Amino acid sequence: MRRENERIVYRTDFDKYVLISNFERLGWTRSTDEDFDIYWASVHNVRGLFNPEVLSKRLRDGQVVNHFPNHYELTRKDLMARNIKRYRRERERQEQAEERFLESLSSFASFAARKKGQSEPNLSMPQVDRVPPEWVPATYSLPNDYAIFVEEFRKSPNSTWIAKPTGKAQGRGIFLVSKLNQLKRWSNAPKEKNQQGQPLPFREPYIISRYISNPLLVGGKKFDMRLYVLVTSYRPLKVFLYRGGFCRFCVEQYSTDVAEIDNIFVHLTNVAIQKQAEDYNEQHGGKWAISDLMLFIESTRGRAASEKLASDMEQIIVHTLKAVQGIIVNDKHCFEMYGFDVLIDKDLRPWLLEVNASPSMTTTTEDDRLLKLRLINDVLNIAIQEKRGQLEGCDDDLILGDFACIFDEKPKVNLGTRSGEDPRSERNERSSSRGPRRSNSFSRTGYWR
Amino acid sequence: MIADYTHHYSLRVLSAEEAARGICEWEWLTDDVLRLDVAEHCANDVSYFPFDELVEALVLALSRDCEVGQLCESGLPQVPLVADAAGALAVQTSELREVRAGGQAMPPSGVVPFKGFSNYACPFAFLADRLETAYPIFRSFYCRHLCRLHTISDHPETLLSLCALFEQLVVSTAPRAAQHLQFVLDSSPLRYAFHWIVTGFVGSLPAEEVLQLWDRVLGFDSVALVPILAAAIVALRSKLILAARRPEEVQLVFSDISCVKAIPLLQSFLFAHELGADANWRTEHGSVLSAALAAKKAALVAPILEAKASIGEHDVGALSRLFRGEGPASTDTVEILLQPQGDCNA
Repeated sequence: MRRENERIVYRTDFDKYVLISNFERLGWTRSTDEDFDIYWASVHNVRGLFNPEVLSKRLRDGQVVNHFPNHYELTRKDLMARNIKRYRRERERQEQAEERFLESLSSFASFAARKKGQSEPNLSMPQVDRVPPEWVPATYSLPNDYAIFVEEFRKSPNSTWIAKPTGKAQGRGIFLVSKLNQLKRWSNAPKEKNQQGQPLPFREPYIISRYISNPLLVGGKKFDMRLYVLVTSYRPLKVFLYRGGFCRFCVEQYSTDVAEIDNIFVHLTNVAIQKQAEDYNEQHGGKWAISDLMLFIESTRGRAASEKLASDMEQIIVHTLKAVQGIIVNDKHCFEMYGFDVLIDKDLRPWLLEVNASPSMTTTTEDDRLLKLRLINDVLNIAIQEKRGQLEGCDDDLILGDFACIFDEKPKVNLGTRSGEDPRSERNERSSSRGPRRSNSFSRTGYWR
Repeated sequence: MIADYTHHYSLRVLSAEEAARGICEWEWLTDDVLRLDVAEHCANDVSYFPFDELVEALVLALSRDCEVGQLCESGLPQVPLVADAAGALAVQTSELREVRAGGQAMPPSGVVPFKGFSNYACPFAFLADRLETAYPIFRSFYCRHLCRLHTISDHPETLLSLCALFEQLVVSTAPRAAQHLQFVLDSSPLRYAFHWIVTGFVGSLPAEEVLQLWDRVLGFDSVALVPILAAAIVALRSKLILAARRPEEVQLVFSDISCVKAIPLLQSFLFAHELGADANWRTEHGSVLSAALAAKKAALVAPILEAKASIGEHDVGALSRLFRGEGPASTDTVEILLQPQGDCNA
């Protein structure tokens, strides 16, 4: 990567204000060809970039791109659900085996202790490594898993399910299903056509998941959360979480009334959809700071509840990334900023709805614009520093801005720490220049308020 | 703390059913005014917008609560509007007790809403998600403290004395800034801080800071902390004020206080002597703090409590105009109003 006094060259597929103004503020020059230092690419172009057959497009040393080659293992709804399911199964099996081992070990140890007249030792598994309870609602692919889905549907007659197209965004094509015959909407939909206009043999692939019908409501309205997560490396895994996440509110009051099942303004929180509602307000755009949400939860349910929620949210982010850690191609040229969509239910349990590879850079309000400008600024700072650090082996303090590092697998200065620990749970020599990190990003007792 | 407080004062609380029924059964003239106010302020605010329905319910319920007029410790905030038996607006009387037989105060609480009134209810929406839990807290706090912020009378700690306290503090802690505003820019610090004082900082400070400030108001049982904080902010920004050459620049200095941390600022403003340069002030001076606070508070508030400014009709009118945002009151009038009287009428 060019050093600071040399001009950095950027390339971008998006002409968004929040991106361009950051690049220009940094004094970078724009390029439209292979001569670039940093490339903010669309997922479409990234596919071509990493195509093994096109050798001419291989990235040079020092070039940085904002996507991993096979990010779709995480960002496609069906693949994400499948990977997380597999990961949980593996971890649960592993934990059970460990517990059995510990049990036999501890019974032997207490037997030995009793023989010697000593007190019984206490052996238990550390809680921090346990995989959290299910955080992705049960998901089935259509048409492949149709039969299994029908079986599951019949087992829980009063449940609602939500059907989403795997390949679309912004809430397009989503509908709710409470009776099997409502699925005709998908099965009878006109078949897709290929480029020559001939109908393809398959219908558009969909997934159907259990709908979370008891979301946490604020002011009687449903909302979901958009969290920005930056990953600079998968092996070792290094994850940053942005403090400025926000909640996206529905304009209409939430209702489980069957009559409202087709009212997208009640159920779907996508901004693209809510924008079209009659009562959409352009001042705030339905976007609420997560810090306000945490204040509300602390005031109405107590500090312990809000701390636990913040911690649970971090847990599901880290474990989601760990689920694909083994299969993502850990190209050293890559970093990625994901948009995690998380929904909280009435019991303050977070659910992961999807992970976006290209979270929207469009801004709807002034606060939104400021937030995204600062977000990109921090992402660029961290990405460049991390990539330089990896290349040159230097380990300086990072300029984190509003990000917090929530997981770092890289072994530190030899303090005898176990690799894979949350860097803030140990007294860490590598404290950031802003002072010691105490708690997680959304925690209201932590430094990161 | 707020929950304990309502039990202690054991006010007869309007039950949820009564409050809800009241909202549905009758339409008062002031209902539309309140709804418009909520739509203009709460529903547009980036922090309070999810709660717009709850805030609307809170202010509507308060306006129908007949006991508010008596519960306000500093008396009615303003002259009530009274309708006679025929429903027509009758001659104004200065005391609710003198309402003619058959007369009905409008709205029933006797408190006439003004622009920004719904701001008072907004922070309470964070504390409870249902009307029946939020309303008692809101009502108690309003009657005990918030009503003073818009009451013009000679009762202690009402708006006039709060403004006087503010001006005194600014003059004593940031005299150059005050003089700069007065003589160079033909303005006064109160013109900019007035909005903060009347709203109790709702909409100017982040929700959490407002709640923490109101917590202290509750704890010290004195709404004087509001103008004290306002003065502290002016003192904090005194250098910026001195650098301002035009009214627009001053406006800019006062327009955004969202990054101010209310409690540390208040603490350093009030206890500067005790804090000193000692990093361990909290532990070493802990016991001194409570005594110092009592003394400090007495020192600040006493002159205001004792001075009974004799306020003529002309002066009240001027301040009310300022209060309703109808253009600048003449500087002379405001000065006269806010100078503590030399002779105290006991």
